[in-house]
This record gives sequence, structure tokens and C-alpha cells, in this order.
Amino acid sequence: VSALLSLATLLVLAPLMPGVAAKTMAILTGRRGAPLFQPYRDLARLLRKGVVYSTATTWMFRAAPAMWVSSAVLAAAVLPLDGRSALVGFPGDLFFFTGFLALGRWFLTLAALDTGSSFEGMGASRELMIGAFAEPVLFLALLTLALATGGLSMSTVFGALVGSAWMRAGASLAMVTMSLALLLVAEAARGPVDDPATHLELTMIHEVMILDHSGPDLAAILYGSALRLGLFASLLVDLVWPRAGLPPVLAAAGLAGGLLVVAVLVGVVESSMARLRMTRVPQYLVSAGVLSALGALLLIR
Amino acid sequence: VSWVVGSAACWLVAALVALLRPRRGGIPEKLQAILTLAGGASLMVACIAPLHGSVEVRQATWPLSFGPLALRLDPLSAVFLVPVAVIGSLAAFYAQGYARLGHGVPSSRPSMVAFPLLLVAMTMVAVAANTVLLLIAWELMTLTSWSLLTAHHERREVRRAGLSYLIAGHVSAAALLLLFALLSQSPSGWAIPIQPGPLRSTTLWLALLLCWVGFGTKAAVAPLHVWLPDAHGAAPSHVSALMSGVLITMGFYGLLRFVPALAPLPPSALLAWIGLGALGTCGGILMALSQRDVKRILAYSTIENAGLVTLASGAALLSSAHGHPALAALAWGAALLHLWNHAVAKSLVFLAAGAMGRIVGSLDLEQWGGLLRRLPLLGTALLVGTASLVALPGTHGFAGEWLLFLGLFRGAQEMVGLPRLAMVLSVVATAFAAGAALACFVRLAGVGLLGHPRSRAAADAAWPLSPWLAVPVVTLAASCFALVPILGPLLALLGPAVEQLAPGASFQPVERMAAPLPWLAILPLASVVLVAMGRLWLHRRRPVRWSVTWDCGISRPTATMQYTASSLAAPVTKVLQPALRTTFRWAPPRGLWPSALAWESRTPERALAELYRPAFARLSRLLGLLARLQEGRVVTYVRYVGLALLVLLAWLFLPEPWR
Repeated sequence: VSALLSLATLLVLAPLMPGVAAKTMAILTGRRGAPLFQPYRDLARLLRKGVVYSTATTWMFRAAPAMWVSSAVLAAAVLPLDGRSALVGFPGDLFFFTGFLALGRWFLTLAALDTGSSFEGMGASRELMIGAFAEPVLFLALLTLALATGGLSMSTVFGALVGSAWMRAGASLAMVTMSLALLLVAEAARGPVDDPATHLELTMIHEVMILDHSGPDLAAILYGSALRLGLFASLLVDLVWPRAGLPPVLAAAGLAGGLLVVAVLVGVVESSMARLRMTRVPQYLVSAGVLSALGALLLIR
Repeated sequence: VSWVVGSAACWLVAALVALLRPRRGGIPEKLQAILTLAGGASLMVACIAPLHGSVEVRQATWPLSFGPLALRLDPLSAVFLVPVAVIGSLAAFYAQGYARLGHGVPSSRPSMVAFPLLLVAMTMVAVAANTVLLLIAWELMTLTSWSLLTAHHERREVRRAGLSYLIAGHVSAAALLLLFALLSQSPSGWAIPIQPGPLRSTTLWLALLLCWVGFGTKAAVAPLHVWLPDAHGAAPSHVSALMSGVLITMGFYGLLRFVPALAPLPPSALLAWIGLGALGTCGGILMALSQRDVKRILAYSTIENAGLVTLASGAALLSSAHGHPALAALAWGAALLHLWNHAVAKSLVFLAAGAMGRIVGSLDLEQWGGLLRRLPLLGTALLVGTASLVALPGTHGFAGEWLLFLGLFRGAQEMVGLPRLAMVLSVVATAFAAGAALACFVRLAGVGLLGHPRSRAAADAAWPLSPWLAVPVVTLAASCFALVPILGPLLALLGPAVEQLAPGASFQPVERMAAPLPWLAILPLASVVLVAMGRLWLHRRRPVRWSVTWDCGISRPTATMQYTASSLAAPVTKVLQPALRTTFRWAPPRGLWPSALAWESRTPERALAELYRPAFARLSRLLGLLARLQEGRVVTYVRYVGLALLVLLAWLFLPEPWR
């Protein structure tokens, strides 16, 4: 029940996160900005609209939005969102999490290439580059946590055992937290790696891949992207705030509060930094990996 | 064993049929396909008992100078015989349709004879209970596959690829000859499995080195892989599929048969082994990412997978050496399962891509495009195969990689010191390869199958509905999904072989650990169905319009505006330029009214350019010195003979203490 409640919290609150980030950015740059619940309104509007498909596309293009959402939901199912245990948990579900993220990326990039558009090809190319460099970082972070907690399941490395691991391997866990925070920015396509608010296609990564989607398909993609941001944010919340002892409602409320705090932080970072040059992105990801690797090295004796 | 002999007999008859009946088409070809299928079925029957743990030895009555001629069928050989039977039959089936496709010429008689013989040779390699018999089978395997490889020997690059394959094959055979001579000094003599007893450290290192060169060359362990990309590119597709899916595994059969038997192994050798696996994994996939020729992409991905299997087996040997049998069982299970998965997925993509290449008339990725619309069956099959090679959840390819990661993570948790560091670095290498594999195969499928057609031929591509092609491709593509629900029983079949590889280990815990795998891997499929239904409901009353791609205001997007395969990979190849040594050529547009620009990237095969070419050049210079001895005059040779006699006489009359 506790896991279900928290999962529902994540699924409902996910679209709020981009809204909060945008509002934070607007306030910090002295504007009024769109209302907080604008993402929900956008989703509702898109769901009422018709669809336009490019004549170049195949079933891949039409399957991708659905797979983008469902892969994110499946990845969420193995996360211990209430800080205790996940809906589904067994030793080795770490690689289900990474596998489902890869599944979503596979469909989204192929859909981008399916349109035959030069801009969407560019976005796919950049997304694949980020994927190649982000994958080892994520695995290193997971490995460091597995070494620190001795678990092999998301429910143990992010759930029940985190509290005691902070006592034993605090430095390593701090480094992993930083590394995951850097990774969140890259995986959820936020600044300074990507620029979700720009109006120039040449500088985008994620937004430029989905130019051709419309109507409910676009709604699905927007929701899936918000969910991805939520997934990585809840990893951070679980790590920073072990709350295995709380009753279900409080744990879910804690998750909600944590997600909003992360969203505010994302907004703050985005408004205080310019987008990185595209050639700097691999260096950014490698430095995230080095942080996790240092955390792992501290545990090798 | 009788079933094995039966299958070999079927294939020999198939070879005879091809040899005796010169007339092409009609009955002989179909008869050959049926015979090959029968041989495969017989071999599958033969594998059932040993996969459940029985060992059978059959000795021939002929006494030979190096010991009795014997065949031995045990769990380990059965694991390697299954791909021979399955992929061999399907490839033979496919060959019948492939020969008549596009601009292809019917397969020549030598290659029709060589194909069943290759199957016989591979079977013999796996069941030989005698090193000399193994060597004979090994040589037969090299020669028949070479003859298949050079089927289109009128093309220059095919002849070159054939030559380099032949050289690699004979370096491997020479190393094996030395290895078996070395092992014959041990108590077990020429018999397999070997029981070498305690070896001196230098002998052990020598034996390991010879194993590595001998079997590793066939298994495409980096940096012994250089023959492979050319060979797979040059061969007809069914041969590429067989070579990539099955022939490579025979190299691993040799490694797995001989190396664990040499235990206790020096730890530094095991760390080097893992390092070579990581090198092959990362290097292979990065090279695959930077190729344009479809078959070369697939060939380099084979090197990546060979690297993964090397890495997994190295991790298993390391865990055994440090006294963690449970861990070793996990890693061996990962290695063997990955070999099976790779055999299915890689032969599938070779068969599908090969047929597409024939239909389009080119294997250049830049000449494809939009093929999923025009060839839906082959295109979907290729997509499924690549998804499995990327190890996406829902396909069976995921299971092997899942086990490997689990083994590496547990290895890092349970071992300490240097082995733990090795496991951590292996995780990094494998994860990077997984991310790069995603990029590589999204590039292959996205540029080749999706978007606008990039050439006339691709725009006009049409599928000549041929059951010879469709049946193997559909079977393999379906098994990418169908193997997932039966992963439990499938893993159980690997148990006896794993327990043979890691004595004292039990495979039961691994099976229990993998129990949730089938269910959770089906989840993506279930979610697809659910979401598809949801979409239908959403689209019920919605207007759906069709239009051109919205390309930011360009009203008529054309094929030339698409991202090319090279530019798609450029962000990665540019960042890794120091390692890959990719060269870029860029001719910017000039003048006020620019009309042309050019951008080109080229990634060299570094092992070939920096290791083998200089080494072979130096070798040929050294041997050039020897050539001076060969004067060609009889008198000189008589002098040599006389000189040799004198030296021998001197040796004979030398006093005892100096001899």
C-alpha cells in the first residue's frame, strides 16, 4: 500500500516539476512566468487535439510516445519511492531500472530518425552521445551504492539500508549523491546540458527530437519526460533523506516535498548557468563519473 | 554419440549430393537443404541427454600412434553444439533463397560442398576426445570456411579478406600444434579433457599464451580480431551469419575446454584476460559505431560480444581462483547464455541485413533508408535483432547481460583488493559498451531502415516473397521474444556445463536468482499492448492527418537533408578521437554563392595499422635475410649438407660434459 501510494504521488506530481522549475526561473530572472499548473493545462489541451503524422514515418514513430511513457512507469515500479521498498523488488532489479531507461531512449531516438528531418537527426545524435557517456556513470553510482549497502536491489540500495550506509560510508554516499545530481540534469534534459526554454532548434537536444509529434502523442512524450525528471529526483530524495521509519502517508508526502525541492533547485541551477557547449557535455558526464568512481575507490580496501 | 555420427553422415551425404549433381536448381538443392535440416535435428536430439548432465564416450577400435580415436559428448560440448545445429540448419535454408536474390549469382559448387562440411568440422571440434582429432577438425573448419568466404573470389577485396583469414587460421593452427605437443608431455597425453597435473610456471604461461593465440584468434579476442571485419564483410550473408554466430563460439569452446583445466592459473594472467575482454568490448563497439558498411558494423559488434564473453569468463576464472564458486557459477552462466543469445541475434541480423543488401544492391548505410516501409518483414526482423543485441528488456538478449552485470556487481561486493578493482572497472567498460551499443544500433536501424530512402535502389526496394528467406528470418526473430518466457528451463540446461567448468560450484542458486527474469521481461510487451489499446481509445474521434515532415519551415524536406550515418556518430567519434584516431576532412563552402561542401570521417583499424602491419613488415625483413641462403645453385646446397654433417659429427664426438 505504501509503495502504491508513493508511486501514485510520483505519477501525479511529475508534470508539476517542470512547472515549478519554470516558475523558479521566472522569479529569479524577475519575470512573472506561467502559472504553476501550466504543464497540466498543456497536457489536457494536447489530449483534446488531433494528430498529424509525417508521410515518411512508420509504426516506430507511432509506438515511441507510448513506449517512452510506459518504460518510465516500469522503471518507477522498481524504485523504492516510499524510502522503504518498491512495488517490485528482487536482487538484480538494478539492471531493470537501467534497462527500461535504455528502452525509452531507443524508441525516442528511433522515432526522431524516422521522420527523416535534419533537426531531429541532430537531436538523436546528441542524445545518443549523452546516453553512451551517461550509462557508465549511472552504473558506477549504482555499484558504489551496492558496495556501500551490500544490496543488489533498488529497494535495498536506495531503501531500507541507506540510513545505516550513511554512518559507515558517508563520504562515498555524498559523492554518489553529487554524481546522481549531475546525471539528473543530463538524463532529464535540463540546463546546463540542455536548454528546454530556448527558441533556437540548433541548441536543443531533447526538444528538437520531438518536433514532429503532435496531439496526444506529444502529451505522452511531455509526460514521460517529466516522469524521467521525477525518477531521478526521487533517487536523490531517497538517498538524501532515508525515511524507512515513516508511516505511508508521511513517506509519500515526504516524497512530494522532496520532488518539489529538487524542482526548485533545478530551476535555480538553470537560471544561474548558461548552457554548456556541446563538446563540453562529455567532459561534464565524465566528471560526474569520476565522482562516483572516487566514491567506489573509497570502498575498495 | 550415435546421433552425432548420424548428423555428420547427413551432412556428408549433403556434400556428396552437391558434388555429384552438377545441375543447379530443382531437386539437388532442395534435397541438400532437407538433409542439412535432418542433420541439425539429429544433432539436437544428440544434445538432449548431455545437456541434462550425462557424459558419453565412444572409442573407435583403430589404434593410432597418438592414442585411440575417440569421441566424447559431455555437457560443455553439447552447449556449443546447439548453435551449430540451429543456426546451421536455418542458414542452409536461407542460402537457397539468398542465391537467387537481387543481382546475386547462384552459389557455386565448391561453396555448396563446403557448407555441410563446415558443419561437420564444427561438430567434430566439439566432440573430439583427442587433441590430434581436434586439430584435424580445426584445420578442416578453417579450410571449409575459407572456401565459403571466397565464394565471390572475382572481387579483389574478397581475395584479400580470404588471404588474411587463411593466415590467421594457420597462425591459430600452428599455435595449437605447439600447445598439443606441450600438453602431450603431461600425464593425460593426447586425450581430452586434459589433466595436466602441476605445471612449472613457465610451462603454464607458455600453455596459456598458446591457448590464447590458438583459440583466441578464432574467438576474435582483441587484438587477435583483425581478420574478422574483412572476412564477415566479404562472405555471403548466410556464411557471415554462421561464422559470426557459431564459428566464433568454437574458439570459445577451445578456450573453455583447455584454460580452466590448467588451473591453478596465475592471477596476473586472469587480470590480463579480463583487460583484453574489456578492450574488445569497448573497442569493438566504438569501431562498429564508426563504420559505414552494414556488415562491417555487425562484424565489429561481434568483436564486442566476443569481448563480453571473454570478460565474463575471465571474471568466472578469477572468482574460482579466489575461492568463490557461487560467483564463478554466476559468471559462467552469463558467458554461456550470452554465447547462445548472441548466436541467435547476430545470425538474425546478418540474415536480414544480407537480404536487404542484396535487394538494395549495396551494403553502404548511406544508400539505404526508408526500408522498414518497403520491406516490412525484413525491416522488423532487423529491428528485433538489433534490440536484442542492445539487450533491451523484453528481448532474450537482456538476460545474458543481466546475468553478467549481476555477476560483476556481486564480484565487486564479495571479493577484496585487486579483484574488486578489476570488477569495478569491468562494470564501467561493460556499461559504456551498453550505451555505445545503443547508439550503434539506433544508428544502423535509424539511418538504414527509417526516414527517407537515400538512393534510387532503396526507394524502389521490393520484397520477392520467398519462403526460403522468410522462414529462417521469422523463426529467429520470433525466438528473440519466445525464448524469454522459457528462460528458466533454458538456464537449467546450462547448469551441468557450468558445474563442469567450475568444479564444486552449484548452479541452483543462479537459477533461483534468475527466476523473476522471464516475468519482468514480459512486462514491456504487456505494457505495449495496454498502451496501444489506450491509444486507440484516445484516437477514437480524433482527426488524423498526414503531411510532410515539419522541418522548421522547410516545405519540401528531401533525402539529402537527413542526418547521415557518419555525422550521427560524429559527437562520439570526435570526443574519443585520441583513442580511435578518426580523421576528419572538411571542405567548407567557398565564395558568396557556395555550391559544394564536403565532410568525411574515417576510422582506421588501429590493431592492423599499428601492430600487425609493422610486425609483419619486420618479419618479412628478417626472413629476407634468410632468403640470401637460397642461392639456387646445387653446389651451394651440397655445401650446406656437408656443413650440417660436419656439425652433427662434431656433436657426436663431443666429450660428455659439454653435450
